[in-house]
Amino acid sequence: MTAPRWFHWLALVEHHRPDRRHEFPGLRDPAAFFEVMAALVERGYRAGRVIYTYPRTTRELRELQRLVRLGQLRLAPVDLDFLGPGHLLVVPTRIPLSDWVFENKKMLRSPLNELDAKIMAIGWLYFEYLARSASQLTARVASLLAPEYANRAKIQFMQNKGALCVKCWRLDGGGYQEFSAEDARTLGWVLYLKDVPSLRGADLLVFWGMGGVETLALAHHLRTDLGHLLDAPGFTMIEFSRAARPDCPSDVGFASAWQPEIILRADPLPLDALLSEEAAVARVLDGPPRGA
Amino acid sequence: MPGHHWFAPYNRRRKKRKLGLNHVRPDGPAFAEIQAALYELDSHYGGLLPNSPPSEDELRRHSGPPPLLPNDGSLGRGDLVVMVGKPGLDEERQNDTIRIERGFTTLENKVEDILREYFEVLARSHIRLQRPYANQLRKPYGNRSDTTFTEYGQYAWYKECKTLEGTDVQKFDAKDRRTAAYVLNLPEIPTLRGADLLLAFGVSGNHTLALACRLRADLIHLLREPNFTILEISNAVQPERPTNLRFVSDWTFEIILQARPRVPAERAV
Repeated sequence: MTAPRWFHWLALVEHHRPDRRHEFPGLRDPAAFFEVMAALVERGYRAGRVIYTYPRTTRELRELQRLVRLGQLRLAPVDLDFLGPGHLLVVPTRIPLSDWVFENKKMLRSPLNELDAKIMAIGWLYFEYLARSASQLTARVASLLAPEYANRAKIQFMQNKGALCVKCWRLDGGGYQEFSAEDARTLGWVLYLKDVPSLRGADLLVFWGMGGVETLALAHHLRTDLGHLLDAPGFTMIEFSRAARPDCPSDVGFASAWQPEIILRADPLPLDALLSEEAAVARVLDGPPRGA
Repeated sequence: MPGHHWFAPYNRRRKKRKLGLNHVRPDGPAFAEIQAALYELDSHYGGLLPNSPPSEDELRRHSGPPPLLPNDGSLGRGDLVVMVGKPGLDEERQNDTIRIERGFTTLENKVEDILREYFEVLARSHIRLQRPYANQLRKPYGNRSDTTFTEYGQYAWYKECKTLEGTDVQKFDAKDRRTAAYVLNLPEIPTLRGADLLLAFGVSGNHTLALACRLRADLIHLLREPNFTILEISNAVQPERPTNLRFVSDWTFEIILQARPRVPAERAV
């Protein structure tokens, strides 16, 4: 039997030149991907191919937003003929569901093509919003949090020096809790789905922390003590404490000192109530504004 | 054999902020291709070897170059240091616009010493081989020993090629879409405590990616045996914004130099 293959969803973001068109993309969160790549090889996977995507410029995003409002949105196609059952699509970065409407300084610019839209439609099952600065689970997912962690349903994160948790609430606004920088707490998420119909029956693995270093640390744990999260499908939230970012690390070993605690491990939600691809993108571009 | 990823954050101009582990030059996808090939060759992933350039503030604190950051302590026999992307040896001296900034690490220094055996000049705009390797260029490519490249845009094409003596000058137009890629596979380097070194690069990031794609496919033999190889790339036609690298299989990669690298033991004699 041939080993299953994984495919790397590649998203380029260049903060300093966001409006430059790229003839060829770089790689977002590459180090994190290589860590998880190693874990997947240990599980019998072999490398598939990299899928290249291109971030939209601000002008392109505005134009798409206009088309959404006119009901004329047409998504750019992506050749997915190679994808099928037994394959795994790996997305080693946050799904930027709400970056456009939140206008965060560290905004991820989505490619917003057909494949992106399929992944975003899945993301909307789990999140009311998800941006660099904040996340809010859907009511359905928030109800799965244990009572002591119910206030992790809405979380606000630092944006400048790392992505530490600043404060959190329950969905009803109660359970307010603030975190100091000394708490050094942050979150990681892992979404692992099997046999996704909209991906031609392929599996999907998305993992992220709110910042690049946090994503890398999570990936390192997925390669080491959290490897079991790659063995069965599920939606997992991991809270890291002692999440100190060293100034000039010579390797990823610093992440071993981060203390992971799984605060939610749930079966994947059924995929029968997915938004259409166009509706998923429309919500990304024209969702409720920040603070709504 | 664990393959360790030489990880050089990319910076066109030095920025005030320090570049971290999550910043990467555009050779990440190229490393992904080579990593896939190395897995096929039963190598496994060792981890990162960061080579982050210091910030402007850090550089200002020192009158000369800052002290070297040790980052090669964990290397040993059986390890492989994988460098994907052109190292920036001479870009400052060549006054290049596009530069790979120095990380001021011990590993960077040691690798630079090794590369000087092969390259008299190694910059984004200009590559000049050392005499022993220039002499081994295949005919009719003897004038590829001193080559200048276009600097603007996301590709580096030949501008001019000549011999080390300055003869046999050949001018190119960017429309010729001709360039070179380099592979150095060097085993058991004493200064790296017996670790091996694999370096693969095109002169621009996009050509590095194309080379990596081919190293994973029809050029995988270059990853198996020690060699110093130069490939000339032509017919490099690329569709706009491709979502995969299938088109690279139509590019012509012609080996114009394949030399046995001078292994460290020979150098010591």
